[in-house]
Amino acid sequence: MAEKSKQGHIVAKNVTKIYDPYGVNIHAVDDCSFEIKPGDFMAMVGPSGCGKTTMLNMIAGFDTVTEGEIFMDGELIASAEKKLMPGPDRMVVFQLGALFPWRTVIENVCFGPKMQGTYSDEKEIKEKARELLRVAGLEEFENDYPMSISSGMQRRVEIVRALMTGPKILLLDEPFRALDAMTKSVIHRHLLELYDLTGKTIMFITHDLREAVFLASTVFVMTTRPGTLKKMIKIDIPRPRNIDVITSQKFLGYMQELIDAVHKEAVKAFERGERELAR
Amino acid sequence: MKETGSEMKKERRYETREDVSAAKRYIRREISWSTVRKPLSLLLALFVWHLLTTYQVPLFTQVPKPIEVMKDAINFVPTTTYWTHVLYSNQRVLAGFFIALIIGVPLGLMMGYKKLFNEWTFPIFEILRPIPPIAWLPLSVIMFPTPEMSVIYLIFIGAFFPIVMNTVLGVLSIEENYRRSALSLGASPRDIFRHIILPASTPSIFTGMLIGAGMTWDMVVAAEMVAGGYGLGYMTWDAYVVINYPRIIFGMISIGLCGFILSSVVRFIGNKIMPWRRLF
Repeated sequence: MAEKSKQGHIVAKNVTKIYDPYGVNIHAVDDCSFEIKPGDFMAMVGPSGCGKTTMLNMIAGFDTVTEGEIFMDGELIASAEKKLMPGPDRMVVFQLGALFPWRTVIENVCFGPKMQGTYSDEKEIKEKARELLRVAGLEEFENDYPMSISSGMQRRVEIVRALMTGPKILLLDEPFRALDAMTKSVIHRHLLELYDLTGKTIMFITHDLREAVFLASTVFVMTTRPGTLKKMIKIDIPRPRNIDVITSQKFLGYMQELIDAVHKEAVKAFERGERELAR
Repeated sequence: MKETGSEMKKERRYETREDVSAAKRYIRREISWSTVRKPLSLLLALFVWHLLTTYQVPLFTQVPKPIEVMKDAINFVPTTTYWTHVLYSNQRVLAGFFIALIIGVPLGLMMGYKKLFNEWTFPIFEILRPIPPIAWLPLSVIMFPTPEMSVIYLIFIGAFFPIVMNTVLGVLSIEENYRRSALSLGASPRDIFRHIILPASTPSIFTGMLIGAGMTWDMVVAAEMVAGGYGLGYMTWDAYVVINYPRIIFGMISIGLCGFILSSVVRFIGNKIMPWRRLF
């Protein structure tokens, strides 16, 4: 297992986000403060619409912050005054994927380094790409187009593409949402292996509590909208983790704790949803 | 890790050699039949035409028989007159089509990409677009000094609007996540245009080109019937005037073939430059 990354230390201070798309204020995130330690695998769970994705978009630089500040490695990356600045130091993998269908797997993976010109020659980029693709079990598909491989493979390609630019943090927005349970279990193994190999800081948004406990070192539970941090659970299961751990007493204990925390919020969110519909 | 990769690959394969060869035989049989069916459908159409004209079915009493058309074609095809007609029409079509392409694609890209430019230009297009291209005919005759130029202008108009509109829609329908992803990966705005906007809108551009290519032959025929001189449209109209009925049909078939060739070329180029997307 590789050294944990020393980079990608995220500190969010009193972050608030209010959307105002049609003159109706939507209070998405409220006074939310947290810290992601460098090299940590953080999973964020919470009811639908609680501002998880908003939080991630603000860290990524796709969305403005209404109030508060976000720092990465001591450097201010988002505040109300700061111009939006997405960049290769914070890589995002989207819910439904954003591989470029007009590029083959390897061309997609090499896109980042080429755009940045961080490598001197193409051979070097390709060698690194092939190495990561091998870890992700994709070496045979490097010349296929994204449309011709399965969605589970597409997601893996996307994670490899994100890793290629040497990001300080990897922001994963429910990347496996559309996958079936079988595919998920395979892809989890690949993701953990890539994490163990690179030691990158990861922020992982999910609805799947079991996924959160299995993958993460720290799980953040968000309250219902306006979202803020409700609870932080440290998952103290040693790595590398095997699929067997999900039946262990420890794992089930964490699950119970997490279900309790999330359930109350989910009920609140649901009831509010009902009220809004009834109005 | 390695097993999972090869496991997935294996799913696509058949278990035994017998299975493989059986599947191959089946596919080969299917392919050979489908290659037979297509020419057969053309023969069937010819046969129906033959029956309709031979038995003097109402409406078909004046329509020449296939054999008459064929005889006329055999006499006419070797002459330079015929090939001059073909050449003139094709030249005009290609000229109008290329001008539409050269102006239409960059314009469409700009209209899709730059909001300000779109706001200044799109309303004009919304008014001009519903005008049937043929309605431009009288104006084009007045505007241009030579008939040749007005014919090319009409063809241009026919192809221009579908190309621009499809290009604009192509750019506007690009998923926001592609752009965000590229930005995250360190692309500059110029990279975004070249590596995202351009390839992502190529399928729509080709759809516009296909529709435009169809319009060019509509326009050339209509324009030549008015302008006279040479061209397949003129040839067909002239056949009617001099009461050479088989020639009318032969002219129509010639136009159909030329249009088919143009669309096939556009499709072929589209498939060549978009190997990731075989839509046609």
